[in-house]
Amino acid sequence: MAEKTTIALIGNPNSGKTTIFNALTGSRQHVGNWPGKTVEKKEGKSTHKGYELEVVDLPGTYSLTAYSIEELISRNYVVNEKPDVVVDILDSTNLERNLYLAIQLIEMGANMVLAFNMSDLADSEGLEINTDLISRYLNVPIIKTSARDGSGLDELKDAVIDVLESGNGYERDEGRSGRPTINYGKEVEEHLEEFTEYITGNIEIPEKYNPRWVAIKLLEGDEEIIKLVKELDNSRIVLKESRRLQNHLKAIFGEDVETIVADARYGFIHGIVMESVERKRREKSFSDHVRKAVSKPFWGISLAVGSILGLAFLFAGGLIMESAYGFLESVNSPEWLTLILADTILAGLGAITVYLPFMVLFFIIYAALEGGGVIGGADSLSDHIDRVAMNRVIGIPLFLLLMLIAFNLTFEVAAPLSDVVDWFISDVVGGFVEGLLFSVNAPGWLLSLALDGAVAGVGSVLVFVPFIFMMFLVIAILEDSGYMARAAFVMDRFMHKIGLHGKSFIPLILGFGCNVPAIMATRVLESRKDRILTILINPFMSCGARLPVYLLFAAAFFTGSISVFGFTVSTETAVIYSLYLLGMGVAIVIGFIFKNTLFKGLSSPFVMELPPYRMPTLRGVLTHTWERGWLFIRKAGTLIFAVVIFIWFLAALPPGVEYGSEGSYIGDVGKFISPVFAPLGFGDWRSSVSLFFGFVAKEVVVGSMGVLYGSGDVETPSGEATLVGALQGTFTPLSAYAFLVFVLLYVPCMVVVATIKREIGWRWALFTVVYTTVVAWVAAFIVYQGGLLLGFS
Amino acid sequence: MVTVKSLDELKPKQKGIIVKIKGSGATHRRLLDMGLVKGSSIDVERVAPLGDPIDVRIKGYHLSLRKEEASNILVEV
Repeated sequence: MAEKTTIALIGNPNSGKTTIFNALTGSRQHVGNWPGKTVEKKEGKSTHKGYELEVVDLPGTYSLTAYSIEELISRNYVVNEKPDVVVDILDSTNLERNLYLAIQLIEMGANMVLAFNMSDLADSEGLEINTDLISRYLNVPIIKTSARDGSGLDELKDAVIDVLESGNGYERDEGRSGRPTINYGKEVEEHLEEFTEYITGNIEIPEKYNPRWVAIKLLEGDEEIIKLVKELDNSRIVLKESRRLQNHLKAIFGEDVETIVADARYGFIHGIVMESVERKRREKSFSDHVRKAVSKPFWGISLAVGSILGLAFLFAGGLIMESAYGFLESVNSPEWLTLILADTILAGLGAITVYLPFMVLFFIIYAALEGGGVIGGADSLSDHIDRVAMNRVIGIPLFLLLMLIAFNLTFEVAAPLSDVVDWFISDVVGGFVEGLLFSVNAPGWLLSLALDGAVAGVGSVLVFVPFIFMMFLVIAILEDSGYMARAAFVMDRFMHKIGLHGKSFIPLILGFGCNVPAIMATRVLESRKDRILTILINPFMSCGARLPVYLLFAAAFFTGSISVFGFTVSTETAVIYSLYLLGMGVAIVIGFIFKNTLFKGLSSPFVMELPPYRMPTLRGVLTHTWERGWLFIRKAGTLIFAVVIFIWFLAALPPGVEYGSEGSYIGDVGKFISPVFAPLGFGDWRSSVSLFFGFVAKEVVVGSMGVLYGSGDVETPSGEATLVGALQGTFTPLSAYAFLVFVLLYVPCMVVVATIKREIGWRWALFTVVYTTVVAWVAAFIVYQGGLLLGFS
Repeated sequence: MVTVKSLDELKPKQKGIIVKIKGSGATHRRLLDMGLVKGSSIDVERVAPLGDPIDVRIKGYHLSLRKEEASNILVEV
């Protein structure tokens, strides 16, 4: 019979917890490479040797004294829930700091196993770690693992079962685990012993807590433990004694207890590391790193082929594409196949590889400068990259360029794929449904429900799936590589100036994908004020769901090209970029206003780890993209499907009314709200209805327009072409732009509002609903009326 | 010659040994937890493009902090 047991995974941020979790449970879960990725604890199951293990993945934390909300989640879980075994995952390349948490867990008396993860990286950095020795010092089993290649995982599970059966924590052997307790020095130890007795003599602490640990924590001034003790009888005298001792020790040492304790812990760790870790320092030059990387066949060949392809595209891109089209035409390739092969794969490869020759050129220059002694050596490849990525002169331009490239790639690769999806839905699916319904002599209204409602509505949303996936893909790469933390570093001063925090930057960038995970990611911020502020302005970061609306309108009104700083860009692209920039601009202005009104006061500190760069794994990135993207598809199939059907009924009733006409119920709704939008240039009742339903999800704006503007003509399933035509009849370019501005800024979708409520309460959620809509109305008013004054139409 | 300076006064590529972390409260505690304890050696690696924060190396890893926080860290140069 399987016994049920709980295993908690804890560890510093970036120690590879989530990868271990995935390997243990087989669950798909995202791994990011910036501090604070697992924002909530995740659970999964694993079985080993007849045990059923409930594995809990906790947010990364540096210490058992919590600093941010997500650290508090981890801390409270291991302290209060008492999992059967705690597995502390450590980054072997950064042992000293990682052992700090391990030491605290040992002091607490948890049943535990240490996993020295990323052992492959430690090997390649020339670190020789004597785990047997450390294990003997700490009296805790240590397993070397590498979540990347899966080594050590079975041994880890074995060790977990061992500990499960024998126990090595405080509770199982009443404190006589033989574990070394850290010696805080004679003076402190004497007081600690006395105080421990004083505590056990005066209050009844729950059995699961080790009294010595409680004593240390009280003296350290740990707020959570103070809170816990306060609830017990007689707590007052214990807390008083604790304060007395704190003052006494401070008078003797000239330092507060937390400093004494931290010094002693790190001192203890330093001693262990000095004896058991040997660093065969081999400072490598940049060219050594590159040589090593390209000597692996996969990377070497990819780089060579990619660069050649890139050069070819750089000089003869047009020619390559033309001959590809020519060839495909000669073999009678259908349009959709051409779109996939030529426009997506070939052009996409071109769009990516075009940057490679520049990169190689840059490598050569850098290596030459290094060889010539102009720039010195660096400890690791990460340090080499950071020299460039965080350089005083090129750091910021590089950041901006990366963002531009990232968004460009998103659009270039996704656009033709979107055409394929459109073809598939309107021609293949639409044609099939139509044929099927005709063959069974379905009544006209059913035909209309299926084609005008379901296919047109859901289809108009699904055509944007490629854009959403590409967006998530790009964000996943930026996250997993470790660049996000650099972006926070580079931008902190600027963010600080506008009243935010460097770490706010990461949630804001995530907002371009979807505001829901972005708002949850604000948990890395330590100060509640920073968190609230970052959440409040997050909806202005234009999420992927708004993109469909921009693309639809851009295709209808902003074709052609314009010249920007001498570069010719398509008007469509320029309009979409302008909206993204406008969103950021509004966020900055509103953030600044809030910071100086609602959130006056001190700014919070900025203390952030810059994790080493890691090559994102294909599997990790794809998993992540798929998970987030799948949510979008699922939403289209469920929520949006339901909404468009609902809208279809509103548009088709009362009986006898012409479908989607002003006389229908939906016409009444539209006409009721439309006067509000008239001053903004889009008083048409149908667009008002679509905005109204856009609260469900922003892409519903497109879906409902697909239903409402899609003509009742059953013969041609209403694809985008008819919708574009209908829009051109209702909007002018100016009112279309004002409409887009409104869609960008107005109330975020209901899922976001619900997330805000969960994170910071319903008052702020309500506040967000109201203030964003006011901002949107004012901004659209300025755009439309201002535009009219300037003579646009 | 040994002089005591606050960390924000150090220039990139300078290093020192921590002698004291001033202040109290959550930030003070976080600095300790991150390994900024007495006797640790600390290198200033670089300053951000806009002049703040700074990137330091401590206990073999990179940490970034604002000059404001760095001014509470006293080092022997």
